[in-house]
Amino acid sequence: MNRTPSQFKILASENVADRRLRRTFQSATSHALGQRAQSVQLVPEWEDLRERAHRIKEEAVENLDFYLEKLEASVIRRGGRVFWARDASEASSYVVDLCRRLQASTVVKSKSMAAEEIGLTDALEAAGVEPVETDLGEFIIQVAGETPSHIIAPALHMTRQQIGSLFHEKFGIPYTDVPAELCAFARQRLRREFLSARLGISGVNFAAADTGTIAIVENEGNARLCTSLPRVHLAIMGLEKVIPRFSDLPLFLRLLARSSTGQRQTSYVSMISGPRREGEWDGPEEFHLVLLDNGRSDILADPRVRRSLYCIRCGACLNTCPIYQRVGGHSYGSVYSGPIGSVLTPLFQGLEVAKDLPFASSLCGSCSNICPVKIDLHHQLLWLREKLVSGRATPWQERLAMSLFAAGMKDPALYRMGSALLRLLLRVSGRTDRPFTVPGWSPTRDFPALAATSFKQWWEDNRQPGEGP
Amino acid sequence: MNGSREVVLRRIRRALLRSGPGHGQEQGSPDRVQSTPGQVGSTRLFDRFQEQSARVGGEPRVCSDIEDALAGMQDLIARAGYGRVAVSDHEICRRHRLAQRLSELLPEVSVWREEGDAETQGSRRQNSRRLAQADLSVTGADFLIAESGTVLLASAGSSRQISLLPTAHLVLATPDQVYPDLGAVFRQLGSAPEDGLLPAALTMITGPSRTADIEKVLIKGAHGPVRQLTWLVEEEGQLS
Ligand code: SF4
Repeated sequence: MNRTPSQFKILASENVADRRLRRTFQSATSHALGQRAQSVQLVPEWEDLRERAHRIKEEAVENLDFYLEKLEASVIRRGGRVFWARDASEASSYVVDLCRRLQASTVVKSKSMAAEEIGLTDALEAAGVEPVETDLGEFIIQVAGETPSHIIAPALHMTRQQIGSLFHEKFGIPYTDVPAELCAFARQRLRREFLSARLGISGVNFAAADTGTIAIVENEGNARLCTSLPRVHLAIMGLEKVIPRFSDLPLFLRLLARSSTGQRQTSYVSMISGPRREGEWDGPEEFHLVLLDNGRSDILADPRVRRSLYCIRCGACLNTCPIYQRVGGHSYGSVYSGPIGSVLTPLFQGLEVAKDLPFASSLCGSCSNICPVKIDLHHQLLWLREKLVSGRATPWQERLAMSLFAAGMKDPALYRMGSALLRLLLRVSGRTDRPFTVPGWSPTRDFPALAATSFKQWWEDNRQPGEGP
Repeated sequence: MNGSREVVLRRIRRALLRSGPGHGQEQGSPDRVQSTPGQVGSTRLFDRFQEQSARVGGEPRVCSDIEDALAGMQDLIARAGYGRVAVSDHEICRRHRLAQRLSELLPEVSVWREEGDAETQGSRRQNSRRLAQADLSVTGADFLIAESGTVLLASAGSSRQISLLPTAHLVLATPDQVYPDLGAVFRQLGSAPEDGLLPAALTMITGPSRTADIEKVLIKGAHGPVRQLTWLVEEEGQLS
């Protein structure tokens, strides 16, 4: 299924109408938020940590050229190779060429947003190489021919029954909808791939410039398998993943684990510095690091959105976003969803293509409050809106409504009259539960019941003497 | 091969409104979390480790000495019915000839040591295949982190796979290896890790492998070990 960000309104209304999906997203996001809140509560210096992380990211991004060159030198010193890719096709061809040289017919892959962003699996398939997704959620959606719906939990939108039928149909195993059995099957099947693949591809959570160390955070162990069994390991990262120092890692690891899943530490963190060293039992003989630009330098050029490059992809802003909670990840039609997706997608793919995304926000600011690196997401969304709206005419209905609203809000008498008129109209029409039919609005929303008296009236009747007006 | 290097760097410099190369601040940023050195109060530290490890499904315990640990292993292997056991070449395993003693104690179990020639591809591949068949692996540790119940393993002392492929992974740790938090471990790793002291892989392990990708149901043993056990061998600390 090919979704694009230009379809946001259509996709969102489809997904909102799907009650099961809506419940799934609402319960999953609120669960994740609860876990996060619990673990953050245990860190009294949390705000201080956020502030420091913000400053370190700022240092890295404001001196991006310096730290990338430093990273490159460190990786080379450790015997690794670095490839700079200006766009998706350059990065993909590098990986394809590597597969050709290794005569690799399959590659094992762990989760990487950057790889998804550039459509790496499609490029590999087109070149006759079979990319095997090994993260359980990614594996499931790859088999289903789907795309991820959440940064941390890609198959969040699927039920165990759907997955059971899928495995039954595709692999001919007896139907089961017991999660542990489905997982055990995937484990066994993927083990074979790990033991025979010549190339393992991973993402990067952080890359320390001073030591050339990349850190990969995960719970399943598939990234560990991808980076230690195959003969060659290729890691792909967006330019912005670089951090100045190895000693910055503890801070970011703490922030990431707690923000994304509420864990103190994920099950595994791999800190990899170059290929296998002499005398070591295993590990890849070659280590390749792909540094991906693909639009990032353009984002860097606009100081008002530059801070979106601080993102550590924790997913917390998705979970807390009232829009995301309702429309789900697929509505955004892009690899990046939620508030950060609404900022990045228009920047990566063009404002016109993704013009609805900056508006897919209530500007409540919850995303900015939760962000572990303190990105002012809602300001960035506002700025994108401004860019979109300036120079474009708004429909006359909206202008009329807005000027009436403005007039009413400025004049108490007018306000009173307007609200009395509205109440009267509603009562006369006898439709206080669903008074208006507004296309694109009313079918999936319940209109709140009309109170017996207006607040103004209630205040007048209930106010104690001496209380304010 | 690196055709776009200059292009990308030029774009970045233009974006930052700079003509020449930038420079970092080069200031250190040590983790500011207060911590005490590992050796001090390590029993109390291990209490915290146990608490945290158990929270995430790990199986920590204290053994008085290596004999106690051996008895525990015998029991563990018998109870779980493990038939194949791999032992790493870590110092603690070597010093106590663990592999040999285990196979003497449990003649029906196949026990082997990860040792010898790692320099040919063939022997490395064979090692992988064998480890993939193992029910249990026994290794040492490099650091334990009390705050999160984490074991840190460097690729220098053992393979990366020995703690990853078997169904269960048992770590034998010593009191001097317990540190309060990750920041303290990083300080121990050296203020100038760029010297090349870092092994190719440092792995932090916190509890068993897990996933919640199917309907958020927590499952242990997604790709890595289903069980993760960490035993502190108390007497060892006094020896070293
Ligand atoms: S923008 Fe902030 S909260 Fe959202 S994913 Fe990135 S780091 Fe997490």
